[in-house]
Amino acid sequence: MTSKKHRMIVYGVALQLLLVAIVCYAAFPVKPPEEPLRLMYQTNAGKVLFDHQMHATTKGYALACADCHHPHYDAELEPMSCSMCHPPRPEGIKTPESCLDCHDDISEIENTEIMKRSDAFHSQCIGCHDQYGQGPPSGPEGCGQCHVL
Amino acid sequence: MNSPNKLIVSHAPFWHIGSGVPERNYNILVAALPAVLMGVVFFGIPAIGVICMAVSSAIVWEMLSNLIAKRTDTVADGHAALIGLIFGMLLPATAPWWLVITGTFMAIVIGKQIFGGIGANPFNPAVLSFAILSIAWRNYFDFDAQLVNFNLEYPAFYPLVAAKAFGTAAVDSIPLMDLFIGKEVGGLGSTSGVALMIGGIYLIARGFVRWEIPVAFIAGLLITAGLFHLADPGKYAGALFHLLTGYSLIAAFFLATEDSSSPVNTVPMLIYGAVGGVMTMLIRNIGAYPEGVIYAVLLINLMNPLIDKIRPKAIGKVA
Repeated sequence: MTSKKHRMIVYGVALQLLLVAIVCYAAFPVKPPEEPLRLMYQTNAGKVLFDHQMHATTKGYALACADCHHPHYDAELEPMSCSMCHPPRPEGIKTPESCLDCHDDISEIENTEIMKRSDAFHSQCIGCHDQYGQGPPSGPEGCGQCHVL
Repeated sequence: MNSPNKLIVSHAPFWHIGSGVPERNYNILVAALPAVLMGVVFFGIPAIGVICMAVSSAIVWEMLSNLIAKRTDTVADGHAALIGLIFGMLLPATAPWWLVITGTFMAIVIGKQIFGGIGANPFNPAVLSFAILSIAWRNYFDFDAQLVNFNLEYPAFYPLVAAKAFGTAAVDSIPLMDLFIGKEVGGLGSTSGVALMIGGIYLIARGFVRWEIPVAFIAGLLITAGLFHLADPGKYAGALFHLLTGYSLIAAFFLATEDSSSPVNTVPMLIYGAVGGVMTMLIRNIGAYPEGVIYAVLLINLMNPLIDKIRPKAIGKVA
């Protein structure tokens, strides 16, 4: 086999691989599933990987949505990202500053002030884990049990 | 091109296996394919996209750099394709196309061609490129963050991060056999221990890779990891866990053995491999990074010219 022939074969293979790559990237992008599998929170105190699938399906704890998320009774709402209400919120998107922006009846909400996302998550995660005595222990020295510092 | 320096070579011993550079490169490519296939099985079509983009773009960068430097076109020797493939194997299956293309540019142009092309690169080009990119775009190399949308049937966290952050208890439940098969989060071509070992043993059996480097690397890693584990079993995971996670096995068989950045004499090869394994574990266990292979390989590449001076005394007069 001559060197030129060999080069042409390599270029041919490279071209075909490039086409395959373009098709793979264009036609099969990795899309987030409707219901999250895992969520990665980048925080000031390191990252936290939350296994949503483990909490919400029969693979794990099989919790109902309303066990963690706000129950929006009598309303057909699309599931929203927590950061749509709890700050820090995404930039450029109109989000409520107070629960009363959406809720007229104050009796259906506990607190009109929207908690910071980190406070809401800490309260939610630690509260549930403490209640069931499962998972990482809470406390001032327990940060590194969830946060990858 | 006609420099008389080209005729000056180092001392013996030389190792000749009767084949040329292209045959060597294509054999390494073939040896790496089982691990790539396992990556495609576990991560699906996105892994094919990343690998194909890496190989094809590496070939294009090689062609362009030869064209600009007015050098002989060397794409046919398979080295560019090999660098592209190895670089692709280190990436998460979700690596965006621009990251792959930038990475192969760094590997081929910065890691290889700037130093004079094949045989002249002081560092493994794929590893050098990975190191540069992982500092520049850290989040794209965070396997936990990158693979959140993959529905995996096995523990869906990067084992090395979990072991470093949460201790041995966090990874105790992962069966070693799963790690050996490749059921773990990691680089798309670097998770399957069995596939990498098949490729590595093939390369050693065919004489394309000398056994000293992989064996010394694995021994250095196992012994160091074992000592750490003995010292504090709760904090440091076991030796086999470290061997079967991260880039350990791909480093032992494919990264550390890169020809121009590794030694050729027996004792230097043993030192080179062993230091690689030891440094990997030191970085993993007491360094800042959960994965130490990349910097360990760069470090042994750096010491390669020095330790390769340990060689048999030349018989006769040396000019």
